[in-house]
Amino acid sequence: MDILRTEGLTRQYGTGQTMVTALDHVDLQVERGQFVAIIGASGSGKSTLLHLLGGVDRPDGGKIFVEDVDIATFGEERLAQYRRRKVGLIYQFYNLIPTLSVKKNICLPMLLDNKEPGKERFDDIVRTLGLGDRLEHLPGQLSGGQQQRAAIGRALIYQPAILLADEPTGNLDRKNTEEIISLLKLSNRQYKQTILLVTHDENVALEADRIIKIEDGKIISDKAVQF
Amino acid sequence: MNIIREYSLDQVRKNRRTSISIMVAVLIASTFLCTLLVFAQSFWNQMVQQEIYTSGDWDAELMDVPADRLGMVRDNAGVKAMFVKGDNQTAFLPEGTALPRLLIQNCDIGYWDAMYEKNMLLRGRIPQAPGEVVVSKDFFLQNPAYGIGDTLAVEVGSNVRTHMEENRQKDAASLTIVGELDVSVSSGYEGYLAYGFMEPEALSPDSEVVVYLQMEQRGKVYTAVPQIAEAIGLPKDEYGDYPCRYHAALLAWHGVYATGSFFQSDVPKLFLGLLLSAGASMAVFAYIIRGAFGISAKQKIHQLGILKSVGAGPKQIGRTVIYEACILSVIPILLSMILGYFFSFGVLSAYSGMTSEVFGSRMEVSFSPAAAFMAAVLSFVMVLLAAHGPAKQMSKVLPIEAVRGEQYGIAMCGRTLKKAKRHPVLTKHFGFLGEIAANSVNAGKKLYQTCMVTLSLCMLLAFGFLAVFTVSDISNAQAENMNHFDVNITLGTGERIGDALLAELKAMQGVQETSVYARANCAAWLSGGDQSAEFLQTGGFEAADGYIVERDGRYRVPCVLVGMEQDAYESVLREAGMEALPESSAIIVNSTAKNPGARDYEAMQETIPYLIFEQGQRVELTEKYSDDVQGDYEFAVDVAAVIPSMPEIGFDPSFYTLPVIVPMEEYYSIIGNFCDEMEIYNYRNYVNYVVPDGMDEEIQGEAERICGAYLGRSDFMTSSKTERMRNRGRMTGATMFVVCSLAALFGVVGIFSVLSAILNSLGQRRKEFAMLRSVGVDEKGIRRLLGMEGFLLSVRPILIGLSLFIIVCAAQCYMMGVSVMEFLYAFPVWALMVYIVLVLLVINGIYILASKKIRDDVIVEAIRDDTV
Repeated sequence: MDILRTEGLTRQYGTGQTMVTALDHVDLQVERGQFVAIIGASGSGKSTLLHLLGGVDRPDGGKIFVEDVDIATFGEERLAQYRRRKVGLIYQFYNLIPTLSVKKNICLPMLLDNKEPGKERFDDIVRTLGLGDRLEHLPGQLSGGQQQRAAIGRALIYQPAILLADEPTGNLDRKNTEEIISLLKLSNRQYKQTILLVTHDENVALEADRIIKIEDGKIISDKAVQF
Repeated sequence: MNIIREYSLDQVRKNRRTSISIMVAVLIASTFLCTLLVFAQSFWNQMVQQEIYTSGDWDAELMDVPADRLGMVRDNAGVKAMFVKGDNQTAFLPEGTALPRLLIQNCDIGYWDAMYEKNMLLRGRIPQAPGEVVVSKDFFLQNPAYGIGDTLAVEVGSNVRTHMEENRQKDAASLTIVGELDVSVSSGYEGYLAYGFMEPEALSPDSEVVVYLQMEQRGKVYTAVPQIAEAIGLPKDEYGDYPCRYHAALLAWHGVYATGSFFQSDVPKLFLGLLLSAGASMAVFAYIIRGAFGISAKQKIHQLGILKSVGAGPKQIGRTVIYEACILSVIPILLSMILGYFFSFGVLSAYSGMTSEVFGSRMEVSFSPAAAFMAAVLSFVMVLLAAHGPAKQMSKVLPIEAVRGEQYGIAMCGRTLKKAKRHPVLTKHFGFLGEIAANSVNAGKKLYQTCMVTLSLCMLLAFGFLAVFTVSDISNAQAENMNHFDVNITLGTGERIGDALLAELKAMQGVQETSVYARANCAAWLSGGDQSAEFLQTGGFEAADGYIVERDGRYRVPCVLVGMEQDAYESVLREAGMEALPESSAIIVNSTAKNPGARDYEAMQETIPYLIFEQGQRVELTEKYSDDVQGDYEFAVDVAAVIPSMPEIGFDPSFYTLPVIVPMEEYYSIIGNFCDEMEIYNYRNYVNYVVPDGMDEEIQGEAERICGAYLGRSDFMTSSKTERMRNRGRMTGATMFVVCSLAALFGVVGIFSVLSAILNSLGQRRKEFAMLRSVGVDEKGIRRLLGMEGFLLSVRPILIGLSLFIIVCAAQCYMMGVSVMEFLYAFPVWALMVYIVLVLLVINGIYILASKKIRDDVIVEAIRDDTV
């Protein structure tokens, strides 16, 4: 069953002669619980696809169905709610709020809903991420790997159905890269989350169930990974 | 704590530099608003106190009230307080006094407390018991044997005005003089004015008194007082009105108006002016502070993007800016109350010091809790208005654009350069650094926009006002030069001015020429056929809309009845080659302005024949020159002569007004039939002198002394050319001081917004400067680059401000008919130059200070990406 589907998804930047088509009528289906890697050269449109699926950018054309609802038609408030509850976004540069503690950064999506996470679930995530002794620290006091784990914790806190990771290991060394990928795979298995991972690292992509290759804003290949 | 609030508070704490610059801007803007309200309240308070000081603290006056009805008035639910004056008596003085009588008006304790007569006390105290009196100063002047504390054995009768009445019953009494009052009464009464004490309960039931009322609800005075008059059975007069009068001037300051008089009063106009000033100031400051909030919001755009990407809604994002505004405004707004008070106190004290001689009193600074609350509310609204724009802007930004903002330079704090412009002149003289500087200023156009507007506005405000005053001064000086007389005296006691005083004034030593006249407004109803051909050519009555009223084919032409002393009147007649007619003879000054709309003073002086008059013609006139005038007395004069211009007596009639000159005795006999209010007003006499150069103030002083010997201080007024010129200088100086003080507040906000914008811009461009240094630009080059930027940035507000200033000056000169040369000669150009140099120095100074950090930066650290 498809959790995510796009039809003719298009995104263009600029106007006139400087107009660039970042995504060109992309049709894509992703089943619930799949771990999908999206690869492509720099500027191919893979991050743009992820941002559109995450509701942080608006398409110029096409539809984005998440659990059969077209999020492209959502107003600002509803889209914010979607970002809070339905998807978790992980960026290459972590994007934590530097003035909030690690704990508050992890809980941020729930706090924005004026909710507190259940203690059991919070402790479970923190234990899994290995951040138990860093919760009261500010992001600037953490290493790159720890910051990215905190960003993953933030993406997981609301138990969203979909996790979208944009080059999550692009800024990390090999050891931290392996740990982060292990965490994502664990999350995929343990919480039955659908994961879309943008990467240019083929080794990382090979950890996924399926690899989609994008070039010039179009999907040029879509293959299941053979174990 | 709510996460958005917590985030906002953290941001305020972490971004100290931005927070402080916003707080300073809010502090100064709130101080300005607070100052404006303190000024307004102090002015209002001054006006109310002045009105109470000169006319008393009462709302309405009921005349001819029988003493046995006083209880009914006092017990009326609408009446807050009642004061009584009346039961007038005449005391016949012992032998040996210069005049035989004391004309006593008795007042109760409430009257003495609330009314103005106590303010005219020169010595002693007010009466506190029956039998005590205060007497006018001329009593002591003419009877030096008497002093305060003396007891007079007198015979007292009820109010005696004529010798015929002196046979009425008189009782022996003793009066104790307890004080001296600065009041006078016409010599025709053959007595001295005095005020005594009465207890209303002791009045005989048939005596009639004047009652002054303070109402429980001032707003209802115009409906409640006639009801009270009706309830106590007062009869209506021939116009259908009860014998009551209202303290309209005081009521107007409290926002209470009679039907139809709202738009005639100056108070609503002043209030509207205040509202507009406050609104305009709020809008300008909101715009300035908006820039600071915009900078702060854009500094956080990356973080706001993160918040959005993890699910913060547009309202929550907007709230981060609003919360920040609230947090940052609390302390400055509270501080501004104190600062505003002290600033106002300083400015108003200085203003008062400069103008106290002109106004005759000092303005007290008033600041009530209500005004403080209103200032705080207005300031808070202004801050919310300022934050609203950036809040809305931030809430609309796409999360991914906001997240990328810092990393990819999509929205670098308003620094968006779509296309690099070429700057051949700068490139030629300053190389590629000149081009970079020009492009940087161009790219930061939006960021610097607020600073540009603020500094331009500051310049326009200060120098625009200065230009207005300069043009007005030139215009006043032109008018003053046309004034034939050097010293002007106005005498107004409400009665005919005594001959002895006029004789003494006319005999003044050192005066080259004297004119004495009186005047009263009146009107003539004429037909269209009465217009001269020349007047018809300029449009006639139809073109004089607003001055001349047309009803049923007849035109009400405004006239002024001028009374001249017999010899002066005959001299004018002789000059016209005529002789006085046996019946009510009058000279008509038959001219009107040729160019009533002219701006140039000389063009305004050109005249043409107005109407058609012939010698011997009878002209019907009426005292009802306006529908508001109660009286409708009609009278006629026979035209003895028609002359083309007003004799030089110091009176310049208004547009379309027809002067009708009659001998003074004729004048008095005519106005004696006018309604009371008009009669009293028109007894005023005007005395003017031409004196040798430099003697005007000396002769003015002598005139003051003579008038003071005959009249109360409030019954005469003198002025001289030198005094007027000095007062105008004082007023201009004082007003400019206030305007410049307020403009300085704008200037300080402007400087802080420049400081904030420059620091922010340079902070954002650390990488750019490090990159330039990494490719070999040395310290001197960076200094040169920043110096160039500073210069380009400071030139813009100067050019914008200067252009607006020139427009204001040109408009002023055009409207007032002042030539450019006259203006340039009088305008202090040096002050403008000082301001321009100051702006250049301040902006470049900020750049020099701010550039030090850039020069001290370690290149590799500045270039390193430190994104969390």
